This record gives sequence, C-alpha cells and structure tokens, in this order.
Amino acid sequence: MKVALFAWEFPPKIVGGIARHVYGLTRALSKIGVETLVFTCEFPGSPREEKIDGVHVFRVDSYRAPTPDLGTWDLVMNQSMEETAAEIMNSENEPVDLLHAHEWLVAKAAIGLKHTLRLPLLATIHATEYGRRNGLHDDNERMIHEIERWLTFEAWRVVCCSSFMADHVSWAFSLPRQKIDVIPNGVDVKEFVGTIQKAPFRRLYAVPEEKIVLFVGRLVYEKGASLLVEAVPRVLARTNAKFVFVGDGYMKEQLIARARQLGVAHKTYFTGYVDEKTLKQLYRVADVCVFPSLYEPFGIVALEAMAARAPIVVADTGGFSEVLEHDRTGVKVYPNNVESLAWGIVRVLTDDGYASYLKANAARKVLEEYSWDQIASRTKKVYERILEEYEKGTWKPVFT
Amino acid sequence: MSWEFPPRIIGQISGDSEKIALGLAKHGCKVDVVTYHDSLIGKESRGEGLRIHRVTSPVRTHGNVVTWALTLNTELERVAADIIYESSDQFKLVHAFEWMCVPAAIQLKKTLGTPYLLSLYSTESERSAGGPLSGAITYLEKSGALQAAKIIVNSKARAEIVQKNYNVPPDRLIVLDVATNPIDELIEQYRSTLSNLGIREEQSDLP
Repeated sequence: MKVALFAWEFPPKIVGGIARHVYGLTRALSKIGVETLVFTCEFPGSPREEKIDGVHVFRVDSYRAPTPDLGTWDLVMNQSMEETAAEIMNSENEPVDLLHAHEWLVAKAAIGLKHTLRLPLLATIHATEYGRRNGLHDDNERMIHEIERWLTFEAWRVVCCSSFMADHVSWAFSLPRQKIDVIPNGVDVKEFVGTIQKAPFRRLYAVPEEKIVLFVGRLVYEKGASLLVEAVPRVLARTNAKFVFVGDGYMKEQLIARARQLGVAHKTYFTGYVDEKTLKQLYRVADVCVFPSLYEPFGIVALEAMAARAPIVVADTGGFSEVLEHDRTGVKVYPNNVESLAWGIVRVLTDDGYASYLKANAARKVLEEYSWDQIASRTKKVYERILEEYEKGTWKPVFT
Repeated sequence: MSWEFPPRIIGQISGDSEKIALGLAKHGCKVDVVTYHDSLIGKESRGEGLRIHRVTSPVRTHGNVVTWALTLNTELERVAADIIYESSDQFKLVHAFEWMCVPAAIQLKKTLGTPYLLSLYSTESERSAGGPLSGAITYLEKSGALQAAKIIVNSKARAEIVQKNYNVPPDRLIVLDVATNPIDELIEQYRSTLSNLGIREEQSDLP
C-alpha cells in the first residue's frame, strides 16, 4: 500500500501539532508495510527531497509570489504543491493508492489530485476554525471554515482525534457522523524515558521542600491558566508548592499581575516557551501536571505527562474526558471551577501512594493505546476500508 | 475553459468564447465549455457537439479575487477531468481563457498530460498598478504562459508585450483576432499543437 500525505508542516518545520503528528504516524506506518510520500512546505536548510526512516519527504516551493494574507498565501502554495505532487506521483514506478490530507491548509491540492488522478482521499481534521476562534467573526475565518467544510465533503472518510471533535466536526460541516473515524493522537514514550539528573534540574525551578505543579499550554483563555492562578492560594493553604507555567500567550502579563495581587507571585514561575528537551525534563520532575482547559480538541499534553510518568489533574472537558479515567489514570475536576481544581491538586500532592498508583496506570495505558504503532495500525485499517470500498466502485482513473 | 460565458457577460471573453465554441461545433469538433456561474450549475447540451458545464466556487466567502479564482479552478479541474475520463479515447486539448483558468489548465497538463492553449487578452502589468494581489496574479499568468503549448493574442502589439513580460518563445505566440471569425485557422493551431506533441491525427477529436 502506498499513501501520499499532505501537511503544510513537517519536521524540521514545526508550527503546531500537525508536524509531530504526521512525523510519528508516517514513521510507524512504514514499519507496518505502508509506503508513504509526504508533501510539505520547504524549510530553510532542509533538502527538497529526503528519505527519513522509510518516509519519502518532498518539500515544495511555497513562496512563489508575494501575497497579502494567510488564506491567499495558502491557496497559491497549494497550486505549487499540487503541481509538484502530480509530477512526482506520475514519475513513481509504483502508483499511489490513496491521498491523506491533514487540515484545510492542503485541501485544494489534495482535492485537485483526487479528481484528476481519481484516487480516494482521507482527511484528518485536527481542529476547526470555529473551535479555534470560538465562532466565525470575519470573512477570513469564514473562508477557512468553508475550505474545511469542502475538504470534509470531498473526503471519502474523515479522521478526528476524539469523539468530542467528531461530534463537533459533524455539527460544524453538516457531515454525516458515520463518515468520521476517531483515532487519537499518539506519543513516542521513548522520548520521555532514560536517566536524567533530576535534582540539579529541579533546583532551577523550585526549592527541595516545594512540590512542583506544572502547567503546559498557551497562556490563552481556553487553556484555563487563569483558573490555576486563582487556585494557588487554596493549594498553598494545604501544602507547599511551586507553580510552573510553561508557554506564552496574550494573557501572560495579566496572569502575572493576578498572582502578585493574590500575594503568591513568589510561588509562581512563568517560563515562557521552553525547548523540547527542557519541557520533557520538566514533565519528569513535576509532582503533578495540571491542565484546566475550557476547550480542548484532544490534549496531547496529557499523553506527554502520562509518558513522562507525572500524575495528572485535568478539567473534565473535550479530549481530556476521553483520554483519562478518573481515579485510575488521572484526576478529573469540574471545568471552570477553581474550588474543584484546587481539591484535585491537593488530592494528588498530599497522597504519594495515590499519585504513584495514577502514574503507573497512566504509563501502562499510554503504551497500550497511544503509541504511534497503535495509531498507525488504526489508521491503516481506515486506509484498508477505503481501498476496499473504492475497489468495488466504478470511479477509477480509467479512460472509457 | 472560460470564466465568463453567456448568459454571464463581464467583458469581451464571454462573446468570444461563445463564438469560438459555436464555430468549432459547426466545423464538427466536439466541444465542452467549462465555465463559471453562481447558480446555473450543471450541464447543458446545445445541439450537436456542444455542451456547456457550469460550476461555482466550492467556497462562498472570499477576501479577494485570487482565493476565489483558485478554489473555483479546482471545480473547473474536477469537471474537466471528468470530461476527459468519460468521453471517448480520443485525445483532448484544453483551450483556456486568461489567468482565471490557468491553475486548472496547468494541473490537467501535469496530471493527465492534456496540453493547453492559452488566450490572453491583457496582462497583469497592463491592468494593475501593482496592488497587493498583483504578485500572485502575475505569477499565475506567467506560469500559465510558460507552460502553454501556444498563446493566442488578438494583436501583434499584445504578442510583443507577452513576449517581453514573460519571455515566451516567439514561435508559441499566435496572433488571431476572434472578430475575423478565424475558426479554420484555430483548428489548424489545435492540429499542429497535437502533432507537435506526437499525437496522430486519427487519435484526435479534430475534424
């Protein structure tokens, strides 16, 4: 089986979660006999064509003309991506069996190739414009929303990362729910194990008597960092802790000011963005990871914390509700509820036995269900289903 | 492929493309016009050998004409590909009008090897003083001109502009004014395009 994947970002170009997702997925697919071609945007210093771990990557020229905004840039880039992909797919000895598009950013190229080459198309919708913006407010957002709808309409099947997202996509695009498969995101557990010098690293963030409470996420409204700041005094009333906020966003100054107002500034640490290596070590020295999101399509941070063996407290919302099981693999608290959040954090910090029990269960679960090998084999099943249906039909690249 | 065709009339291309389509059909060519209309979507047969296929952009909200044209072109491409797959095994040729149809023409050439002729009525440098979209339009127009088997213009002066702006080899530029009803000459150009590409007469749809 040979699949052409389309994604506007692929390592070393990493903007959001799509690059990591397509990277993890394609590597694991190649291990189970699915040959993959990845078409993505160029990146300074990266070759136009390379083979990494069995994955054939093609980087296309994405700045052929100046454009005034993201939507225009993207559609012009798609013209270029479709041309390059057509040339490469036509020159391959073995034909491509299926197209797999990730997000609206590659919709035009993938849909065009679907019709000219008459190949089935699978679309993965990681997030929607409606969800990202909490509604549609201008013509740019509406255009992106309609491109997303177009992609789901043209796709043979659609993959979403959680049931929550599947229901949302079905509603947002009037898409039959039966056309959507739920396959979660994955995590590479190997990246979170191995020996590290914990004590010296930990001292950069907290004194030994303080437990570390770790928040990872953009400092924006929907990630709920403000709830955690409000919870700080309530937690400190019961136990000694340092609250480390990793990430950046428009709420950062406001959050710092509020911590000062509450008299807990010395117990908080806003690190801004940190590099991958630092982040992985932070997960490993954290005594509890807290994700109080109000909106969360999936919540890949939960998988990272599980892989790093850190106990987790999440708001019972979106993807978190599905990934974690309360009292077994994590603690779920009421969304948008400071009292409940503080209770959950204290519950984990004041009972080491309970924390170890959660960690052990979560580490087992993440290996069993969220490894890229698992995700790739579930994705392959969707590919097989589509190809089986396609074979039975009459829509083929045959001249009559 | 033309972005305007009666009953949609914006400028000169609508009338010209209709005149050419009717003329070709009269001469025994099988003609499929793929064009845009906002609401009259679908296929219409106009007597022997002429069918009109109207599509609209699958995306309704747009910030500018480039995003509109690019998404519309994927629909032009879809319908043109269906025509190529579903008609006889005879060879197909695309005649595209203006940059508005260039994205689809290029993709059909790249994916299915269908050659295209491009009619250019003006160039972006003449139409615009360099607005924010000019770069993208110039890029599409130029890559359309460079990949076309032949470029049809209506005057010698325009041929010079296209050659100067886009560095197109002079032998690919054809001066042909639709007002003089040059259907025989157009068919001759189609025929030589196919024979230049090594496609034999009997494989083609031409009379």
